[in-house]
Amino acid sequence: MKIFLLRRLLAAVPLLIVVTFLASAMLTLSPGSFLDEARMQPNISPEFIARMERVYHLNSNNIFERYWYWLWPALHGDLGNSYASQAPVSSLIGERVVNTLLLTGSALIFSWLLAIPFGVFAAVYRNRWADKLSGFISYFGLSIPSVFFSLLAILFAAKTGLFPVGGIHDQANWDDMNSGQRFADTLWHLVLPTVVLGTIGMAQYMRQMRSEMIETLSQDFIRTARAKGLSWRRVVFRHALGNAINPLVTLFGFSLATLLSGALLTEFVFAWPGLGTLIYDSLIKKDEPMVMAAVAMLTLMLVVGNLLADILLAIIDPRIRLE
Amino acid sequence: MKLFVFTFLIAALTFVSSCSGGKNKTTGTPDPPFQGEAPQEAYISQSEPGIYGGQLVIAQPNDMQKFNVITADDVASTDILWYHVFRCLVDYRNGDKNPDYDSGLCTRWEASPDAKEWTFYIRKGVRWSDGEPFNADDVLFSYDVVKDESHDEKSRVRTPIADIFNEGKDTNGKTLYPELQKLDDYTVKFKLHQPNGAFLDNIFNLWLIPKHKWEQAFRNGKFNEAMSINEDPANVVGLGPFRIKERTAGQRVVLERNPYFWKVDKKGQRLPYLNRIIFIIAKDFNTITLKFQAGELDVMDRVRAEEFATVKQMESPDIKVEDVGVSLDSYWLVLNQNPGVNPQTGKPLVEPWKLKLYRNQKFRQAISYAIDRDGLVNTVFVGRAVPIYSVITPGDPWYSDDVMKYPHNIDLAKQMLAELGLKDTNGDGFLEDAEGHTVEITISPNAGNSQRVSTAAFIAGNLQEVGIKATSNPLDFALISQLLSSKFNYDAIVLGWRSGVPPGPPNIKNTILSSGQNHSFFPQQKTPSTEWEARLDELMKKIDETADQAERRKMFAEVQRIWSEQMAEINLVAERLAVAYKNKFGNAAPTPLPPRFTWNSEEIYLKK
Repeated sequence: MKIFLLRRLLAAVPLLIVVTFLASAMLTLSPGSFLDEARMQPNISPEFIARMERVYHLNSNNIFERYWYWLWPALHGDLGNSYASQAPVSSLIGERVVNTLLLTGSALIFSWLLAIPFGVFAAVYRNRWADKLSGFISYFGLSIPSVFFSLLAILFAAKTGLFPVGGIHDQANWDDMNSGQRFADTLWHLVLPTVVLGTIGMAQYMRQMRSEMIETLSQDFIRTARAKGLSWRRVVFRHALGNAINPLVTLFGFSLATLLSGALLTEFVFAWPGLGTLIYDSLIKKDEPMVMAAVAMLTLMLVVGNLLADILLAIIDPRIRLE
Repeated sequence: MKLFVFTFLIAALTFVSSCSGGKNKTTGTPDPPFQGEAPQEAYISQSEPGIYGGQLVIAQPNDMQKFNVITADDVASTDILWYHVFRCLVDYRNGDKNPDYDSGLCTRWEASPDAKEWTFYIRKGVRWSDGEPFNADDVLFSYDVVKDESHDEKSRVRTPIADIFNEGKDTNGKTLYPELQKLDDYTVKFKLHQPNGAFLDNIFNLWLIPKHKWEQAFRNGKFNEAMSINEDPANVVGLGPFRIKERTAGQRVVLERNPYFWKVDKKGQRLPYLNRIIFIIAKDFNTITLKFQAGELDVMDRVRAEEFATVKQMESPDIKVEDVGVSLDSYWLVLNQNPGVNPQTGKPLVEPWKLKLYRNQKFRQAISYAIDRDGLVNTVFVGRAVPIYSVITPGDPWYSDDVMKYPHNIDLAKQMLAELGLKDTNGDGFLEDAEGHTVEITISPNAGNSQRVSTAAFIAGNLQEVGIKATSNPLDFALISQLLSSKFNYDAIVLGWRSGVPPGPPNIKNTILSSGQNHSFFPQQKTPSTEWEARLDELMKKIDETADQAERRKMFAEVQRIWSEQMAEINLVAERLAVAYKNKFGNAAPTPLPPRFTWNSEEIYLKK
């Protein structure tokens, strides 16, 4: 187990290096830089721009040199300061992480809590109305683009007034609320984006759950279990589900990786103050230290998510051993 | 399960609805309360006296990046920090009938007749927002920080403000800055190396910061990181009517009353009236409109052309949608007139036959006549814009109407093009020059800006009507910026200038001077390439050196006249601006100059 963990973490190092190098190379080679906006402002002098280019090392177009300027301090634990705010990138990411986790976490719980029972029921009542309904929901979730779904939700909120038009809090009155009101207010703001994100995730997991379940239910050991007199309920939930869930655990690992990255468009439309909006803004502005830190972090999340999935799998399936 | 979720939701809704609107009323008592005494030389505001209490909620499309007013260069930070939290030695009254400088932290100022010595008399008894007294030492410190001459390149204060004070270099190559002297605790004098009649424009960029807070960071070469966005807001001490109470990333910035503010109203009540100003970060303009419609915002300080009709419908006794006039920001088309060559390939930046046309005044004028500006206004800007023919817009206090105008005239344009020897020789419907080159123009707007993209397409259509093979080719903003500032190998670009505050010749110097970075059609010239550019340079220099405002105005009118005659840039339109706001605010005077609604935030009050 220890060796397995060590090996996997060591394998993550070259992955991180390759991914960050590619990101840095693309930032270097794509046209434009953080200073473009300043360049187009009539009251900022070329001398100032030139000085900032030197300070940020933007005057070099050598991808290796530019990568080194990022890598060397990063190896010493310094991810740099954001160009835009001059504050350490880690602190800027830290400010946002909680908000994103709140949204993606609740969406994850929403989608898994609904996907597994729906998938199981769809498989058990195959080709009946329950299956058709869940099929409709999952096709809806799979085919609707998240931006469009988000916009529909916003429109719904604006027209009915039942939900807030984006945001995470009631910003104007937040200061005057007590903690109970703050909790309720956050929850109220959370409903629509959670439904949007959750439905999209749920669709995928539910299809997977359904097909795994159908396959398992048609196997011999299920018939045997039924034949020896076990109740249907016990067969489905204990014997069939336990066997059908393995691939979903792997999927769950991947979905952990999307916890920090998966909500960019939804965050944008809902004006949710999370990492997605921060990363998007940094990319648009070419705030390189921010983008690099985000890329490194998201890669790391993917590695860790996969690792967690493997460990989970070993725990629930005794046939799997981690070597 | 479902029932549970539903009841929970209802509970949440009741919670929220029961608490909203609590503090949004006037209470008559200031909260937080004022501290200390009003300064012995308090500024007496001439506005109508109001009542204390309440808050103002306004949207900000970008997230705030810095608390550091000296190094801040992003729109959100400057929108929030300038005027509201920090002040300069003088104030500028954006929304007055004739916007002009006002005695703010100075009781008065004097300029020597040669405009080389400027003396400022500081108001006595003024305190910073943490209660410490403000005096000449703070002015000296702020100026030292801005021009920072004591650190190496890496830790030197990164501020564009230094350039504003830059007076060129001396014989040793050292940058010259006006010398600042402290005459006594409440008097300072700037001694300039060259006359500058518009020195107040410079002073209005010197945002004052407290020495007692930031001296340490500056001495240690850590000023760039000081007052970062993660700093405790209590340390962000300024002289504005408000101070930062709280900032939450991506959500909001809350300003609260500066309890030591140095202005009083005619009744002797201390200002400001409002308890709080809340900036809500809302990235998307559609979201801002929805939030205003839902009543979450008190003010929408920019109603875009395309949504003006919708917002205007909301007008009621409670909501006012006010046309505040013409924007100072302009849209233009530039033809590349740069005769240089690409240093890497040795090829000319613009093909020689084309350059000959672009550098011909008559050709540019013909293009200008061919463009249907009124049509552009009515389609792309749904009527919410005005045609312009020179470098600044009618919204600018420096605008002169005595410029050459180009009403849409296809026949005249065709005739002028024919006089240049352009005719359709091969019968394809497009003009050719004497050597048989078809006159083609590729117009590039920046792809992210839908108005500019539509403008470019519209102009291309206009030019085709007079026989020019024009097409529109939107490019990424970063690419356009590179083309205009370093690569120079473009054909034609549609873009706009954003005006600074206060408007005036120094603000647009970089565009007009032939050596300027933003002299878009042929930037960074060593010596002016044409006589009229030489004349423009000469006029701009004279304007700088003249203290007499009427004289400066006359010269700047000539600049505008030459610009329009030459069609250096082909100026197109300027938007009409509107501000929508709830009618419950007293002393509201929205203006085209940002901050459009809150420039006089200390005078605004919530009516009973």
